[in-house]
Amino acid sequence: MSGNDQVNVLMVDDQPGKLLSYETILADLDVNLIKASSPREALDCLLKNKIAIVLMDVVMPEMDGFELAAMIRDHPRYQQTAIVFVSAERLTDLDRLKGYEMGAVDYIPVPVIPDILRAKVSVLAELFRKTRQLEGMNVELERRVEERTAELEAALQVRDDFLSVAAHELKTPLTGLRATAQILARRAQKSELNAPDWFSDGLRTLDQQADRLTRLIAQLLDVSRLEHGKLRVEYKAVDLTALTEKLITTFKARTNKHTLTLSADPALVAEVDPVGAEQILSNLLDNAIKYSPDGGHIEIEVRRTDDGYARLMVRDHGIGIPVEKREAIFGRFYQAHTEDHRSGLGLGLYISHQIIEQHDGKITAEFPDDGGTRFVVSLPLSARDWPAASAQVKAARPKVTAPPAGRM
Amino acid sequence: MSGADQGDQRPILVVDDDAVILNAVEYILSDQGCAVVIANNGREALDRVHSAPPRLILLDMKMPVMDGWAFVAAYRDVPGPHAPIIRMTAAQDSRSRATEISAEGFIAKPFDLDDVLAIVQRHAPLS
Repeated sequence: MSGNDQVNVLMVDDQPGKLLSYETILADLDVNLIKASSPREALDCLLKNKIAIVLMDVVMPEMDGFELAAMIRDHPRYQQTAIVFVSAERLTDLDRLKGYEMGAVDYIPVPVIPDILRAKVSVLAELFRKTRQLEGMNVELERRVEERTAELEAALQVRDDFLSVAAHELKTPLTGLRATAQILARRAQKSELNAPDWFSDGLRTLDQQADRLTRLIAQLLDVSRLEHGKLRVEYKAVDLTALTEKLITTFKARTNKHTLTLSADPALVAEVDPVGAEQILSNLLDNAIKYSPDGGHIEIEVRRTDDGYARLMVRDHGIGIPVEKREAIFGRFYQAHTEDHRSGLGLGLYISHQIIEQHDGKITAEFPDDGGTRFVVSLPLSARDWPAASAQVKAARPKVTAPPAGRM
Repeated sequence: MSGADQGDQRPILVVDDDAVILNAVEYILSDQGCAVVIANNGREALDRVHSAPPRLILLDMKMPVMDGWAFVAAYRDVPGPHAPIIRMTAAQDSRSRATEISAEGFIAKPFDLDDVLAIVQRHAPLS
């Protein structure tokens, strides 16, 4: 019955003469007129058609206009149907208010002035058309957004798959390269070869450079994951003191100009992502060594705080960070010293910061007066939303220094 | 811990589709006086566990023909005793690494051969 662009106007009156007069008045409008001679017939018609405007008499047998309006309003499908009362009776303001509460949008007094009725219906019809148009655009927009989202997700999946393959494909030859260099170094050390120092040193350099390349690749892969929140954290109980000790041993092997000293709680178990925690610490140690090129002392501290955090501190006495660059140190591709090639990709602190944020922790940089930089990382001892496991962590503490200050 | 006694002559099985890595690990273990058996993929590894039951398995995960995960599943169906498995993986993301880490043994690629020897020593003491 109703075409797509058609605006249906339902006229309800128990007097056929009035219906006929409305019909005549509204005939010129670009609307489809439907007549109903009783509220029952009107409801029937409402069920079958999408009605833009209901023009109804207030006083009718069976059911009055107010009741009919209330029924129409109650139905979700007719939320946008405009109800106009035509009333022969003198309506008080209270009556009108009642009508408005029932969902009427307008009143037309009898005797009806044709131009006024026509004008009102015309405006309401136009409003309905525009609303319908808007809804259509909305639906289309939502459809396009969904389509686009699906496309993007598919593209991200492709990229993820690619990154996963790339990680494997890039690391495999590096594994072979490093293993081969290490084997050659071992064989060279065996006395029968009498290999000169420069030969062994060269092999060590090969291995170290391959190791450096590995870390750069890992950073690049991590950062592409971070870009769309794919760097997921898996909380496990990790002894941060033991982890730090292990890393310090590794870093000591990498430098002979620096002294690394650790002061730490005997065992500090926190619920963290083991891989993430290792990345954070190793980025900080890496920076500390990198930015104290003349060697020097590097202090590391691992402490439990009274308010339920693990506090990791790495302090170097190196060249520090220029004042004008301090704002941006946790940004992506940030490099403190662009003039030399001491910096890496500028991703270490960015990645660390992201991992720390995912842990609900925080990282700050301090610049002591006597030079160098101090990084302080705070990680919650217990992961969020993991009450059972956090209880285990608490149980695993060697001694309780203070009651946990309930940070949830 | 496998609790292997000094007289344990069973070999260490090394599984990797990359020949350079395979040879390097084989060399370093042989150099320590270990008997080593190698396989290029999970399928070959399954043949080896039958013909020469190992005391420890060093297992790459991403391999053609039969990957490490499929091998682990198939190996569990073989009547025991089962050797501990050290997974060697180049995976990057935390989740899959964490899963591997929670396995009996795990070593991230690229590795230090010293670390390989250390983990082997922990799981199957070299004589």
